[in-house]
Amino acid sequence: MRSLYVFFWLQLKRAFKVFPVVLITALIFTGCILLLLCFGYRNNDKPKEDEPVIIGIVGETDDKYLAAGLSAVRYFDSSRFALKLVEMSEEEAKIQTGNGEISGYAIIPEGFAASIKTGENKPVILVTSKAVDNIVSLLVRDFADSISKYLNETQSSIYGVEAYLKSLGGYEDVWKEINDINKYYVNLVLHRDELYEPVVIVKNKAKLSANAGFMCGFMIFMIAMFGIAYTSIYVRRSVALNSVLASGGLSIIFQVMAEYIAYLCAMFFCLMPMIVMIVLGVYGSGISIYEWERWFLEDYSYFIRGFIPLIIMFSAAQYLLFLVADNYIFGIFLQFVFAVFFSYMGGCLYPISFFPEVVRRIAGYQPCGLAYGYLADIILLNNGSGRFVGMLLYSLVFIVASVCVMSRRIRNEN
Amino acid sequence: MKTDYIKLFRIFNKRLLRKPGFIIMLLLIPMVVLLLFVVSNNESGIARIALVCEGKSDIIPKLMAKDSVFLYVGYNNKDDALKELNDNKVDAVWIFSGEFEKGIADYTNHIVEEKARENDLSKNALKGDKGKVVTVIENEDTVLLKLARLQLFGAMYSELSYSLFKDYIYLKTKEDREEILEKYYRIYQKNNSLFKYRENTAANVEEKEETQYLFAPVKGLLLMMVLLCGFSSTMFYTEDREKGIIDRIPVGNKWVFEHIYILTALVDASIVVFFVFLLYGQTENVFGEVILMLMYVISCCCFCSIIRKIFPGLRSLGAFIPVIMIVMLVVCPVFVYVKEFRSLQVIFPPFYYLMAENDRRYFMYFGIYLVVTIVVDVLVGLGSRCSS
Repeated sequence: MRSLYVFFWLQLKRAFKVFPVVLITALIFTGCILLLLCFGYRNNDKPKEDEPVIIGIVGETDDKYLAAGLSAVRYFDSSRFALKLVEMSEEEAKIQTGNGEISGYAIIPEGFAASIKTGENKPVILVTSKAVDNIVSLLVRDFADSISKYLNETQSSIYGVEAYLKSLGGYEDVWKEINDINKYYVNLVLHRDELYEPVVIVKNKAKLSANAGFMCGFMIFMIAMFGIAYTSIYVRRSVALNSVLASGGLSIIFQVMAEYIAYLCAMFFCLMPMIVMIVLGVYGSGISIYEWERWFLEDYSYFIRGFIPLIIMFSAAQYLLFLVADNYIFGIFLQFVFAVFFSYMGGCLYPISFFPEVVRRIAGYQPCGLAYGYLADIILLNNGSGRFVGMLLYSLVFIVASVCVMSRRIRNEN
Repeated sequence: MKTDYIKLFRIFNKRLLRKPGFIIMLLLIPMVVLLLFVVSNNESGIARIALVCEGKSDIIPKLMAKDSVFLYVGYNNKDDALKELNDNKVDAVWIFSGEFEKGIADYTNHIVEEKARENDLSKNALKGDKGKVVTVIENEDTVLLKLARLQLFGAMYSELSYSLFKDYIYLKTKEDREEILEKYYRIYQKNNSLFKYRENTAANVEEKEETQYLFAPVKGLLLMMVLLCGFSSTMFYTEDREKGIIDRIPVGNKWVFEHIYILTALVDASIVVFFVFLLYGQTENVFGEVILMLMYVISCCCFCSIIRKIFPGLRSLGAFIPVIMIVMLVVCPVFVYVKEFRSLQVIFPPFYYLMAENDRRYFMYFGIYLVVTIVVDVLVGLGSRCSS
């Protein structure tokens, strides 16, 4: 028993050797992120997902019909809430697209409006940047496809009317008729929202708001990544001491538990101040978290306490990965792949709704997805006991696996 | 005695390649990418929309067949779709009325009638109520769902346009024979896209669109892995220095020696990553990619060396790695582009690589960055030598 106590004490000392450096680095990092958040998002009540997509319009926009069309989209059309068109020079548009200030730009060719009237349809070049935002770039292209469809069908109809009236003869002013039907089409497009029953919003209480989801995802990813900070002391080539202790009668299970608990303590005291700082910072920076509007002080405390099972589970996983690796490169790589892969597939880095059905189904059962679901339960003030048990079970599995790896390594060393 | 740096590089490389963990790591890279590739090739969308038709209509198959960033899923009844919305499995439910075609016809009738009344044209020529053809139910009316509704309108537009055409011709000529109307409507039928697509600052235009957004972050993640290998070998170097191993071998120029040490893991990882790029079609111009990768490896090497000089101890360096990796993943355009962090982005090598891929100006910026990194590395090295 005494040897276990001494071993545990030694492990605590070992874990806390790195602790001050990790803590200082972590706090500086958190402070910097919060400062950036404060400068970037302060007084920006609009959630990021509600910001319209901005598209630059470049080239010949002097034609009166085209100008009227652009004004209609800008001021009357319902798409103005989702899409903002801004006229600018090509040089400006290129720079702003490159810098991510606009999502792309459309180059209207010379004689575009005339080409539409004659049915020649000179193509508009839509420039986006996949490097800056691949998803918005795809979205803009989808939108452009719809516009092509509108134009092709409208032209079919207008040329059809022209041909039919001409075939009948007796129509002196076919242009007047064409002008007439054009107005009908403008009406059809501008009043398209009348086709839908008023959009019914069913505010689902079981769904996290976008900002809350982003915050939870980021915090889970941060906890999962932080194992790398302890690589320098936990990745080892030799388990000679453990081997000697095992032959001296100290069970491998106790050794693993002592090492794991020491590591858990170090992680806990490093991550908890960061978590508190982030929560306070997000609250203070004015970032709108819809769910927090009806929270009291004890709810915040409940939320922060909710991170404890997460830290227990991720520490167990990280400890297992330390034991598997025999050098820094592999150790750091494993921690990185574990954090990125599971966070990505668990909906922490992209919303889980972006993923195929098969990933969505298993996401809630893998460590990061489970942790995300648990945090969502806490934020929505739901009962998250099922996920809590799931995380404890995962911790147990990781510890049992660590015991197996340690036994194997000791056997190999002997 | 002249130091043979190439021989040193070979020795370090052999030492690395003898570690089973390193080999497993190099093999794991293509396997993880393969897994992500398989996942990204499954049916997915940035918003899932449940489609329910209370009668018969071909609008649902039309929407479902569309190659789009939205995922349309057909449901047989309204209750199932609403349950999915309630369980957050879909983002919106679009319920098409049982009399979809009639709804469309009523709607266009209404437009023509209203206009006719305004123009005082045969007031009673057409009769029709303004039809509601789709009921939209959502949890939140986000920009994404607003844009999806534009696509819904696009899918209905053929029927709407044809119906409006028929109503107009009827209003003017009382012609209602379907075969005549259909013939004239199809007289001018073009299905060509009004748009051609181009990447910012690229010269060529493309016709087809790329919809594998789930695979898009892979390139950035692999570049991060290369940099991570650089950090890991920097840790090896720091450990060897702390143990005094480096003092015992003839190293020649210390600056060159340190960089060769760091380069070994970087070069191995970058070769594997480069082949993964080739394998999964992540390169458009192989020669350009080779140049970029070369610049990336050198800049990563200098970047790691600068970080080592700022955090000279093994523990402080180890503690700093997760922080810098998290910052890089957030600020570099790997998952999303955060324009608020532009001042931080310019510090990191992956930013230039990812941007230079699509924007040729960044090739030049990358070159400048490379020179600046080398100069800073030399200066920081001189500074730390003077202070010690």
